[in-house]
Amino acid sequence: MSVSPENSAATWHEFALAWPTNLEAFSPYRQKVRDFFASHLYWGDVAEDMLLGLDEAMTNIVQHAYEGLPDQVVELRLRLEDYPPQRYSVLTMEMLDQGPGGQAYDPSRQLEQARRDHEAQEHRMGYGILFLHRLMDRIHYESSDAGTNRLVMQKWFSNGPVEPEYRESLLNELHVLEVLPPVEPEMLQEVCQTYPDLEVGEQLLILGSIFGCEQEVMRAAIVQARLNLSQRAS
Amino acid sequence: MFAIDSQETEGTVLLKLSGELDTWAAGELDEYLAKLVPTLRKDLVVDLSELAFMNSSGLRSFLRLDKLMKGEGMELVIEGASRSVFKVFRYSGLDGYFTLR
Repeated sequence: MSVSPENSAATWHEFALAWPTNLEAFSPYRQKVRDFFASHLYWGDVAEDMLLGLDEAMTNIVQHAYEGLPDQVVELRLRLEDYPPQRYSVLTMEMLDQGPGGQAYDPSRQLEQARRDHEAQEHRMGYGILFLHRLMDRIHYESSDAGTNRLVMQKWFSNGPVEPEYRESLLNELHVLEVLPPVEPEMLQEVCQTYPDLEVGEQLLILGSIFGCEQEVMRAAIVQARLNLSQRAS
Repeated sequence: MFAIDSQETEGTVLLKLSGELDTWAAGELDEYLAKLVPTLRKDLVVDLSELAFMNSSGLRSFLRLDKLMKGEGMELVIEGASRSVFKVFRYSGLDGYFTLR
């Protein structure tokens, strides 16, 4: 099940595309997605990151679920929900395939192997999976009895510059959620000054790494903190 | 559209990549490099300033190239990566492994 914010004040944009399984044909389809992002995403860096994540996922679906079989399609659905009063957006990228290959592409299942390879510095495989887990806040995979595989990737991000008060509220919320100890706002401010181009969620991830928080735990907590603040504000 | 342009200068061979280095293009690049590297007698500089996109397959091509170059006792330098291309090196943790300038 994909996760969406509970409040109903969002406006949204949707885009659907039949993505070919021919690896040599990806470029114009990336461009269509780039155009959609350019029209609706505020944050340039996030758009580039999401395009990279989408390309990695599509490439792996073609290689694993279709085993390189050309002239098939993967159904792509993009949905961008904007929550202006709560200062964030949610991008959902959903991929549906009916690949006949025996190896459905489940990024969550393959992450541990990718991590082991990476830590062993073997450099043989797995960077695509590592990128997905680095770039996305939530990844969900399911396979139906009817042979359809569904991969959903989601990203929460600020829909424009955020006020220092909002950043500090997120920080407090992360303390309430018991993922961070009490942190002086000045410390967050220092991270923001060091990494001014990063989105606030990424800045908080860096802060979490200073305190030794696992990245996946921190990502999930940041999403929860944004939702908690939104629900209180609405 | 991915393209490779090679120029020989006094001390190095300059390889200029342009377009999008995705999984398909990485296959083309690997084939090209497998033929090029054994003929090299100079260090190799790869210019990425015209590269608009790169995914993890492109990164793997550079890892293979680096291994080939080291096997021949030569140096690989990668230069001119845009912000988005550089991030692919950074996300992998390999930005310190390669000579990037």
